[in-house]
Amino acid sequence: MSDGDTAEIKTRQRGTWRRVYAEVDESDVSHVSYGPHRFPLGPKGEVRIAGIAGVGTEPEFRRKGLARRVFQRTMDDVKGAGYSCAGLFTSTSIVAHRMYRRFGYVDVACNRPWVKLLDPARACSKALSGMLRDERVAEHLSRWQCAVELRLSPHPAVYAKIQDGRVKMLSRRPRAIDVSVKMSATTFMLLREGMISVEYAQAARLLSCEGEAESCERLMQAFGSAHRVVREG
Amino acid sequence: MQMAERRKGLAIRSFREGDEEAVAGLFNRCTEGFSGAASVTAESWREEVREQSWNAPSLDADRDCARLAERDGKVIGYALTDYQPYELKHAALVQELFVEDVEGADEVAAALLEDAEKRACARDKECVMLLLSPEDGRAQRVAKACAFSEESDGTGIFMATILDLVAFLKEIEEELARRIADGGLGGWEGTVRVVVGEQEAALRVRPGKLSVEETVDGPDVSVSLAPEAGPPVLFGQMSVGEAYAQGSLSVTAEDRAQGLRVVDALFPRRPMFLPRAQWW
Repeated sequence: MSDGDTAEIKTRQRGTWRRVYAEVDESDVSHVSYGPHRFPLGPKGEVRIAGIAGVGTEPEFRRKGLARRVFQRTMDDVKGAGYSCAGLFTSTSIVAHRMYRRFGYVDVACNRPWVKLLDPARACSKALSGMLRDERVAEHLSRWQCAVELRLSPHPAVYAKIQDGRVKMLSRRPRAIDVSVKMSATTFMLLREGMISVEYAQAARLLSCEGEAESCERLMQAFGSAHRVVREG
Repeated sequence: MQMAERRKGLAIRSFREGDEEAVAGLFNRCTEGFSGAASVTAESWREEVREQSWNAPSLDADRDCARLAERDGKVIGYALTDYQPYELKHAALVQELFVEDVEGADEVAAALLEDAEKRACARDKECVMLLLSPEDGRAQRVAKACAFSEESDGTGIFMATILDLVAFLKEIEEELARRIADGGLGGWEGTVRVVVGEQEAALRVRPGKLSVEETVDGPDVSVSLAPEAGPPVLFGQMSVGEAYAQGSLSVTAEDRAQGLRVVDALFPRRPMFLPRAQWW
């Protein structure tokens, strides 16, 4: 039997919050929390909603059905506690979104951040330099040369030259561009903050990379490393 | 009017003890027409921003997190900015930006945003993120004018599920009665069956009164919602017309036009704003 079947599901109360968790060898390996919140729906009415938060499973205990068991127990408890509805904040780009849908959750409202880059050239320089410093891609990119155009709408394009693992921002468009990357300033920052992956951004057509195939692939690898560093860090 | 003229007499300063009342009042007035934003008191607003947490900055640690716009000694706007937002290393996050409905309000909001940008720069941040309701046209106009851009694909979402339809509608019984009265149906008398997926509830409407029951025989109006349309319609994020156009809602009634009017009045679309400091 897998841990998903044998782990003991426990609960504990902290203030107004209740934590539901799976315990394996006395360790909390998968958990969900919930607590009461007011949700106004008009001048004369509000509902008491069960706010679901803190959903997580330790990496080695994923894909064993554990999160589903913990979530099922949470939903049973929430119903037992007399809540008429439950809600949570999440992202469409994470795996758990599918699980929430299976439990009857429906997308109700979007939170779309508005973004302004304060200095696009400086932000690009810092982002590219940081990516090239990541040891998982640094060796791979150490002898790579590439002229990059970055169009972060609505800002004007910025240009960079990558050579010997270093980034040099250019004040003018170089004669030849090897790779042209287009995305919004928002997508750039979401990638930079590790909030979405390159794969997601490409699949959702938030990002396009055109030019010499190998350079495109290497640059996307570098962008991807930023996401891994944030998620694993 | 020139920009300098419009900003004449406008002062922007950091939060001071005693400002809570003015800030809470502004918050409540500016979020009044929005679902999702729970009204605050001076004390509860202060409590939300006392300590740095994942969803709010700490005013006790940094008074600059709340910057107030003042004209003639009166607070007419404020911006609440988290310069160390959870999981964001390179961004400053303006999570509340509210301005009274005064002349030149857009200019006041722009001045507060510019102020936040300067402070973000001084803190070596690369960008300023701004959280707005997707349905706040005025705030969006200001953001656009200040060169902010919106992501067309929203990845952050609020999801909800209705666990007990009867209990849910009972909680908002008084609000439903208000909607009927304000929808010009104050004199209407009848019963409405509401079906969401496999759940059912009934509303009994009499002049000036509405009660929620578990079931009703031979309803005057019957509205049936597909499970995926239930929460968006009940939370006011999808209109009856939108759900109908998507094939997720049907209305049956002897007097169909009247039935549609009743359902429209009961479940109107309302703008929603989910203040980050109130996220859970």
